[in-house]
Amino acid sequence: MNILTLQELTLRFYRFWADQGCLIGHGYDMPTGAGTANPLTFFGVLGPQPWRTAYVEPSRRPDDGRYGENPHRFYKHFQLQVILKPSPADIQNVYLDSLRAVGIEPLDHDVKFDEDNWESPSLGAWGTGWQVLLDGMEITQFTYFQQMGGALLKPVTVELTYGLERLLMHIAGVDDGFELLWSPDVSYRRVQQMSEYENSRYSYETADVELYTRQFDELEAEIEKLLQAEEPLIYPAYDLVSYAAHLFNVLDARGAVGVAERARYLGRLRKITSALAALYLERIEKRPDWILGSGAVVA
Amino acid sequence: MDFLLEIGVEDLPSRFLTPALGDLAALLREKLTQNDLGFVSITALGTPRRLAVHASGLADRQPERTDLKLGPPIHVAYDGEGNPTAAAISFAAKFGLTEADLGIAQTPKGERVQVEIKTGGASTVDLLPGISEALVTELPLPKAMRWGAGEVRFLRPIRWLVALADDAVVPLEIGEIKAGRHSRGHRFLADVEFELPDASLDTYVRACREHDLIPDGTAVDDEGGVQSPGERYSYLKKRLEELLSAHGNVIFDEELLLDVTNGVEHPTCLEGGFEERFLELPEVVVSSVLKEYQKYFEVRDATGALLPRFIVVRDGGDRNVGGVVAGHERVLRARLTDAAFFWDQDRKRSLVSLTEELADLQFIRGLGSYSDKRNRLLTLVQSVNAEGFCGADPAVAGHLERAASLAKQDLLTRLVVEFTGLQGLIGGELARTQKEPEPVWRAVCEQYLPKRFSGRAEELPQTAAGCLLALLDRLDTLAGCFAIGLSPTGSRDPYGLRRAARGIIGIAAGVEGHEPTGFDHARLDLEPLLRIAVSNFSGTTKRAFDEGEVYGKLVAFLAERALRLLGELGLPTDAVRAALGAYPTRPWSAWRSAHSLARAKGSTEFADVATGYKRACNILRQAAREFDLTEFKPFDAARLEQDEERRLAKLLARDGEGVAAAVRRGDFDAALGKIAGFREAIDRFFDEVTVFTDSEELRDNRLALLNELVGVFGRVGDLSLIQAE
Repeated sequence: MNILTLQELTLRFYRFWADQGCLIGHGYDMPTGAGTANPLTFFGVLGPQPWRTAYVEPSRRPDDGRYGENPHRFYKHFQLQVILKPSPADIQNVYLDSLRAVGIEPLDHDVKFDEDNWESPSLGAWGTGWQVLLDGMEITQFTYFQQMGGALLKPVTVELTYGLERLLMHIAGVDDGFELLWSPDVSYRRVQQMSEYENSRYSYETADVELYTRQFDELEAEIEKLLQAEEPLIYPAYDLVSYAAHLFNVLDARGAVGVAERARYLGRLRKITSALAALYLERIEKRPDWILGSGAVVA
Repeated sequence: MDFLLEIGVEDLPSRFLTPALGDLAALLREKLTQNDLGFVSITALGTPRRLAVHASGLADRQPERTDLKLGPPIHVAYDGEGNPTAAAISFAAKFGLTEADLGIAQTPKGERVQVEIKTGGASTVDLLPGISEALVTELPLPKAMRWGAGEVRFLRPIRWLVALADDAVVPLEIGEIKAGRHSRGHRFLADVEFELPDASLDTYVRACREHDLIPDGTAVDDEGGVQSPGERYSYLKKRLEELLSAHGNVIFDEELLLDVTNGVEHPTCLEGGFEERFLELPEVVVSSVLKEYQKYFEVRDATGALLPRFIVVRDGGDRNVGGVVAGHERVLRARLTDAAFFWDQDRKRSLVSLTEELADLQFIRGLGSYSDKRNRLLTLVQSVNAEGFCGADPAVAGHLERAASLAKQDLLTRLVVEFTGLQGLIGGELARTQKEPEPVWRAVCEQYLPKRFSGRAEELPQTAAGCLLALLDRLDTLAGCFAIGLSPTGSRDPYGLRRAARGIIGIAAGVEGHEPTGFDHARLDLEPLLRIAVSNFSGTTKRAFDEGEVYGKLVAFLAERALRLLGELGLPTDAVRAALGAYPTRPWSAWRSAHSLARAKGSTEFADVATGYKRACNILRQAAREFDLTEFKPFDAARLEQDEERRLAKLLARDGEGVAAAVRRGDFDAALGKIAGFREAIDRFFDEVTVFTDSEELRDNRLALLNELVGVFGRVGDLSLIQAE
C-alpha cells in the first residue's frame, strides 16, 4: 500500500529497523531539540558495548516556530532516530534499503550524500557525515559520532536522523506539512497546529525571561549538588540538564541571549554533559549489567 | 609494470576530491623516488567514491648500487704489524661488516680504508605492499574521521581497496579491509562489483565507464582556477552550456561547476522552474538560494536578466525525470519562501543598530571580533584620508568613512548567516533602502570585489570608496593573518589570502578600463597603509611579533602574487621581477613598468642598454666593496675629462628629467624610448673610459656619474634582473 500517513511511515521504519536488530525505544520524556539528546543515544553511544536502537523523538526547537503558518518549519517536529554501534560496513546500503522499505526507489530519484558535519556544543559532541538529499530535499542527517560528552568514541556509532514530516511530504507529494495525514482520518494540522501557534507565541513573545533565567541557574545549582554527592545520580542530573537546555533554547528564541552570553550558556551545559558522560563510564565499569547495550550482559 | 591502487570510500566531500588526488599522486611519486624505482608516469583519478592512483612503466626492481664508504687513514687503521686497529674494526662494524671486508682507497690525502656497500636490487613486487600502505596511511587528511571499530582514520570510511601490480593483487590490509581486484560500479546505475584483470590505466578507465562512472580529476591552481579540466568536468560543462544557451546566456559559476563535478560519479543535467513572484526578492538572494542551498545553476536570458529557471545536476541517469524535477522544484519553493521570510526580518533592523552586536561576532580566531575589525578599518580610513589620497574628490573621504563604519553589520543578518556569499550585497541593499548616499551603499556592496581577479576591470569595485574599502579590508586581513603566523602554505590557504593579495593588486594596478571617479591609482603607495595595517595588531596578538618582519613578509607575498598574476597574463618573469624590484609597493607603476619592459625586451637597443645598466651596477658594487663608497655627491660636469663621459653627462642632463616625468605619468614606453637613446653613449663610455683610475677625484666623479645613470634608468625597473634573450 502507499504510505500516506505519518503513522504508517513510522510503523514501516520501526519494522525495518527492528529487523536490523534495533531496540525500538520511545521519545524522551523531557523536552529536547533532537533525538541525540535522548539518553538512549547519549549514554548508549558511550562505552564499548554494541548497541542498536530506533525511536521517534518529538523535537522542540523554539527558534524554528512559525506560528503554524509556514508549511515547512515547526516549533516541534518528529525525528526518527536510529543508532548503530559499531557502524556497520554496509551502512549506506542498509540506509538505502530503509528508503526502499518506505517506497522510495533510489534509482528513480536523485539521492545525494552531501557533506554535512554535525556538532552539538551543549552535548560536547561532534561527528562527520552528510545530509542525505532526496531530489534536493534534506531527508536524513547521517553522522558518524566522533565524540560525545567530550569523550572520544570507540567503537564509532553511526546516527541516522530522518525528518519524518519532510519525508512524508515528498512521498505524499504534499507541499504543506499541515496537510499531511497523521492517521487515515486525522490530519497533522488537527494534532499539531494549535500547539505550533501557541508555542510560537509563547517562546517568541511572552515567555518570562526573568523566570527562565532564574530557573536555569537553579537547575544548574541542583545538578551541581547531584554531581558532587557521594553517590552521583546520573540519570536525574541528565534529565535536569536536558530541561535546562530547553530553557536556554526558549531564552534564545525570545532574543534574550547575546552572542557572548550564548557561548557562555553553551559552555555551562557542555561542562555538565561532559561530567555526566565521564561519570556514566565510571559507573558502568562497576555495574556492567547497567550498560545500555545489546548482547550478553557481563555479570 | 603497471601499478594501480583504488581506495573505495563512502561519499567524499566534494571539496576534498581535488586536493586528495593531487596529494595521492605526489605521495606515490615521493615513495617511488625514495625507493629508487623508476617509472614513466603517474596519474591520479577519482570520483566521490574512489581515489585511484596509477603508475605506468614501473621498473621491475631497484637498480643495484654500490656505495663506497671511506674510513680512517691507513696508518690509523693498521698497526705497525699490519693488524687492523680498533678504529678499523669499529668502522667496518658500523656497516655490519668485518675487517675482512676492508679495502684500500687512494685519495688525494693519501691512502684510507674503505668498504663497499651494496644497496638496491629489491623487487618492486616486494616493495609495493609497503608503498601501497603508505599511500593510504600517509595521505594528508584535512579533516580526519574514524568509523566502525575506530582504529583507522581517513577522509571518509574506506569500504574497499583495489591494489594491483600488473595482473597480481598487491597484499594490503587497512583495518578490516583486504585489497583485491574488485571495484564497485555506480551506486544506482550499476550497483555491482566488477573485476579488474590487470593494473593498466586503460583497463581501469574502460571498466569504470562500463559501470557508469567517469573517473578523473580536474586540476586546479592554488587559487582554485581550473588548470586542466577532467573529462567529467568537460562533459558536464558542455551539457550545461547547451541547456543555458537555449535561454540566451551561457555564463555559469565556475566554482559551482567544480563543486558539482566533484560531487557526482555520473552527471545528468535536468532543468526546472520556479514561480515568477520570487523574482521580486533581491536578485542576489535568489542566486544564493539556488547556488548555496541547492547547488543549482541559475539561468539568464540574453540581456543577463535572471529567469525563473534552474539547472540541477543529478548523480544518475534519466529515469523518472519529471518526478525528480518536480521534487527539486518543491524544495526550491520552500527555500525561497524561507529566504523571503529572512529578508522581511532583516529589513526591519537598521545597519546602525547592529553595530554594537559586532563585538560578539568573532573575526578570524586570534584577530578579535568584527567590532575590532571595524575599528581597525576606521584607523586605516583615517590615514588614507590624512595622506590626502582622496584629494581629487573630498566627498570620497566622508563616504569611505561612513561605508567602513557600516561595512560588516550585514554579517549579523539572517540572510548572510544562511548565505555567506551574500555578505556585502545584503549590507549594500539595506544601506540603500535605509537612505545612505549612493557612494556609501555601493561601497558596502563592492567591498568583497574582486572575487578572483583575472585581469579584467569589470571584476573590480567601480567606485572610489568601494575600491578603498575593499583594499583596506584585505590589507587588514592579510596583516593580521601574517602577524599571527596564518600565512598560506602549500595548497592550504583557508582564509583565501592569495586571492586577497591578488585583489589588492587588481584594485591598485589601474588596469585598462578601471577608472572609478575620484580614485587616483597613481598616488597609491601601499607601504604606509601596510605599515599601519600591521601596527594596528601590535599588542593585540597572543604572541608579540616584529612589525618590520611582518611588513617585509607582506611585501614579498604581494610581489609573489603579482608575479603569478602577471605571469598568467603572459608577461615574462624577468620583466615582472624588474618592475617589482623598482616598485614593490606601487602596483600602478609596477603594472605599467612590467608591461613596457615585456614589450621592449626583445629589441637589441634595450638589451644593450640593460647590459650597460648591469655593468654600471657592477662597478658601483665594486666601489662599495673595495673602497667602501656608497654615497655619492652629484657629479661635477666641469671635471669630466673625456668626450665619452661628457657625452653621457649631457644626455643625462637633457633626458634624465624626461625619463622621470614619463615614469610619473605611467608612460613607461616613452621612458624606455628615452633610455634606448643612451645606448651608444653608454657603449662608448665603457669602451673608452676607465672608472677606477689612480686619481681618486676623477674616479669618484665618474662613479657619481654612473650612480646618476643607474638612478635614472632604475626608475623604469630594476634592469639588472632582465635576462638576455
